[in-house]
Amino acid sequence: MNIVIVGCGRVGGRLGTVLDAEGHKVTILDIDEDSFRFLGPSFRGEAIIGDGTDDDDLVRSDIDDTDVFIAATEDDACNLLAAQKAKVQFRVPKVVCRVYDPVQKDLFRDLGVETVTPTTVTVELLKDAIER
Amino acid sequence: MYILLVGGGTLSFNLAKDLLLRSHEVLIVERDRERGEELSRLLGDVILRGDGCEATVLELAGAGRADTLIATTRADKDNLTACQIAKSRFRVPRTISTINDPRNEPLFKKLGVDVTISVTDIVLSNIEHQIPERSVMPLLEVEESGAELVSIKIPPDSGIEGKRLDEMQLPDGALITLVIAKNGAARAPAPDIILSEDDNIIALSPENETEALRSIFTGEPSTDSND
Repeated sequence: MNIVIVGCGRVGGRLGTVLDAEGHKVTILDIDEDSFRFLGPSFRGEAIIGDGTDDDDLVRSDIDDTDVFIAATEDDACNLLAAQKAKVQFRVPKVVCRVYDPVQKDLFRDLGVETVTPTTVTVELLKDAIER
Repeated sequence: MYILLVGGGTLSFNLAKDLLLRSHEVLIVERDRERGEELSRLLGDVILRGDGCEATVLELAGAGRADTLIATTRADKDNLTACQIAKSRFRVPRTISTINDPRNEPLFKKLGVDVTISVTDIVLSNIEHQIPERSVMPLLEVEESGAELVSIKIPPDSGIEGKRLDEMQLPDGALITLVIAKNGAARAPAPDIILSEDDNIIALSPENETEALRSIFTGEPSTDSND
């Protein structure tokens, strides 16, 4: 599959490295060149310096040709705009968005964007750990 | 009416002043503490410090009973998020957003923002109607940085026609952001682009260097050297 990831932090960088190792064609975008250090040494995909909410930068990352789009920056608002752009404007078949504020989840479900909420997930894991 | 303003920039400040004069209830949500305090001094107790992109902050701001939300930050992503939360969670009847990147306008409309105002488009269309004598047109003050965004039109017979952009000796801190040709074609400021008469140079300039910048791109002597 062709996969575009926006945001090469700890999460995006690691995810990109894993998906690349599984044989997918991964393109990862970040505004800060420094953040590409989070990519593993095995990463053979493409790392592009660019803004995941900017039309030109998205086109440069071959968004028109991608099967999956993942917005994984640490800024909710940035993820929300990037993900909705991918879904509505570029019609990417599968769009996943990292959202810290759980309140946004419903809104995104209606738009057909899947969300992963680290806050909720972490709370559940911690709760599990206590109760176990 | 109760009007919620997200972002406390110059536009929002002036808007709030006007709305208050017309006896509307107004609250500005501003992220930056210092700017918030400044606005409080100027406008009174109508500022809430917080991130207008967060549902909890909008709830605190009374979004549930707001008639209109107006988002005017410099980041389109923040404007969109504030409008969408207002709409979906608080059922605010009318959301209005300024748009910085004009290409985002159709998307914002599609995503349910009721009114979109493309600041860049408005400014650009105004530039075309400027009086020819004025070669420098201030577009935007960049808050607290002491810099401003200006448009400089290359006049006829300036001696600049045909020069490459990287031949121009810019003042310290000045940055060319865009070159717009007479026919409206916008070009990124690559070092090798060739300048022509009637090009509009859009530049970010420290306020005290704007006159020097004007002099460079118009070929006219700087008036600053008189004092």
